[in-house]
Amino acid sequence: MDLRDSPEEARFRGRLCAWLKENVPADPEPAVLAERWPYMRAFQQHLYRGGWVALSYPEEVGGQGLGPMEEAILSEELGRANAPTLLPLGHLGRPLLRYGTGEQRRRYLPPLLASDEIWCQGFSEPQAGSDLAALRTRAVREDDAWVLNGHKTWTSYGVFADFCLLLARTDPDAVRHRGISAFIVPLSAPGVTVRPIVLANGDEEFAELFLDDVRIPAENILGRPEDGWRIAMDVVNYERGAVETGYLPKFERYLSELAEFVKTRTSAPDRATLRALGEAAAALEVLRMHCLRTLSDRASGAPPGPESSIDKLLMTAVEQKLMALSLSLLTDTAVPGRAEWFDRYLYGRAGSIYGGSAQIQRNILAERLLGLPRSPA
Amino acid sequence: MHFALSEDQRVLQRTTDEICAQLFAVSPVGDARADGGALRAKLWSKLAELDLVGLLVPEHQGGAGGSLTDACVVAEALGRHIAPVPYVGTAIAAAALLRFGDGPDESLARLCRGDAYSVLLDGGLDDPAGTATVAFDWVDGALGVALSPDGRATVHDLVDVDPITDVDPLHRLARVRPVPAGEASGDGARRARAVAWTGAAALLTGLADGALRQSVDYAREREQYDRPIGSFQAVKHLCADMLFDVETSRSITYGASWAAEHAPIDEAERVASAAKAHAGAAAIRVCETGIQVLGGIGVTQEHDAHLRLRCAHLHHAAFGNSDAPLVLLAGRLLEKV
Repeated sequence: MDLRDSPEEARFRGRLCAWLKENVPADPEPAVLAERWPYMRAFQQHLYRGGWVALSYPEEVGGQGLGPMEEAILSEELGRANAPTLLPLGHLGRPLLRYGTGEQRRRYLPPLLASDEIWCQGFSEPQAGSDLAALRTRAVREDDAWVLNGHKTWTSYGVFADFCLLLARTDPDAVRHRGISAFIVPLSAPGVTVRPIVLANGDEEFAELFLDDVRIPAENILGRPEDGWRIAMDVVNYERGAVETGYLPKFERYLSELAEFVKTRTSAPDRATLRALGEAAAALEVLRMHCLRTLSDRASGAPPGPESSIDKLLMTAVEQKLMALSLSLLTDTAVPGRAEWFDRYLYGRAGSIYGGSAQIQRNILAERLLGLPRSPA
Repeated sequence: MHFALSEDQRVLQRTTDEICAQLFAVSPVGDARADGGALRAKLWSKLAELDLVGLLVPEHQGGAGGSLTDACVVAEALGRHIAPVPYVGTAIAAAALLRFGDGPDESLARLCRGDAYSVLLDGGLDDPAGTATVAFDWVDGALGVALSPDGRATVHDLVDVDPITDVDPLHRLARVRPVPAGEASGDGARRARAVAWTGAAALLTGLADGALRQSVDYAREREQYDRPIGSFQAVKHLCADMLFDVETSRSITYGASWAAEHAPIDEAERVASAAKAHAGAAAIRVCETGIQVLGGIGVTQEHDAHLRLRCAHLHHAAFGNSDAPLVLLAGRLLEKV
């Protein structure tokens, strides 16, 4: 155990802090997604030009060639600097890096990491939510193209995206997890229809994708045919961490905002308020340390596995605890910003559903880590 | 930065686990109730012999010169086996108070050799304000350590010792003639408290881990409706929740084991507070859930589950239960914004 920065890490942190001091925008983050999206994206692009994005990606694809510990430092310092929320898409470069051909990595990764091209995930379908392997979208090979037909849903940031990492069944006779392949689908392709879905908080963050005879070049398959399930599991393991998604600094900011609110309202908060604030602060400390441990394990080069379900449950628990705290503090209808916090609270209810519901995460932990017998289907 | 136990620490973990497994092959229940403390004494002298009692004491003061992380590895293993020894009280809390509170060198040397030292707290097992009246993790013949009002650690012969029948028969308390004692305000005393919080968190993490392992083993073996109960999602999810609590406790506790010893005092306190509050609440949840998975046997004295839950409650209550750490965290947060 040694949680001190190495000399290189300390230098990195120093440079980063200096840069953030100069570059974190002074104007507040807009509450409504339609305005928040360009604001977040602009900061993310600026962060990339500064050399602070994709730290643990190799340089030849537009990364910085550093390691997971630098990612941890970035998370910590973005939180301290009250930086804008990152686009929670950091995990989508991972499958391209790991399974992409040289050509795919060269073509797609640099603009993805720079946020010049936006990606989304085409996994869930109306009949395939928790049971992702039940997906029905089909991809059929015709000459030098794949022809896609199907329907995807809950596609986060679908309305903003240029490309979709999409799962489709390529072998109709294979059982469930087998016979699924992963594709790179440009959303501008003829036959793709994107319909926004408005979330409970009013944001158009989700979308449905309809694919009607969408033809994509043969080389747009990612990995080998039937690699889809493995690729998907890789993606969700990355997605389940609070660092790749940029959620750790976002939660830090929420906690600071709530503390400021308490401070402006009263000079002597009661014991219950102090305890509730303390609970939220403790939860964030736990999340920060757990992320550090997770990233430290990853420094050996191993991608995350089923233990990422702990990260995911923890991230959800912290978010929902913060939101419960906000509801307990903002009880007066005259409080400015109450409605915005309520919308954040509603958004927080999604945390235990997307990326594998909290119940699916528990199944994974019980079966994959504790070795309990599989439930009869 | 790296967050991992060293190879030596993993050996330490295995060693402590093996000693406990040998001594408590049957159960600590027998030791607590029947053999007059022979096993407890055997384990304690074994720990002293291996230099594990004096891990927090620097070599120049007669100790093993280990780290708080080492001590947490031992405390976690002892918690896993509900070992009936005053490790958190003597080897961690008292050692830290003597070391960081400039206590007498001679006491540190004696502690390393296995003499028991009880930290003196108030009736609520909290930092005493004015007088300390309760010896925590007390054993026969223990000396008391208190933070004197001038901020230094002082050692006391305990007078009018009256053992308390409290919730945990394996880690005892005694009422003693009141001793003048102040609250932690200087850096040394604050660090000692952060170390005590972290040590308690390590024991609590071990208690929870033991409950998890017992539950999982049982859920694999026990059959109802012609299949292991561990194949039912209702039981699976209980076990998964236990795992979640254990692993998150581990993350914050081992993070604190480094921070409490090496980080600047404010950060040391912040991380240690979170460890104490989180691991305490988590251990109680996990020990309760463990009883649920075990079913009927879990609520009898024929099983150790109640001892585990008792021990979790006592260590959660020690050094200001969750209140002191949570209020400290809230105070820090409000200062910062």
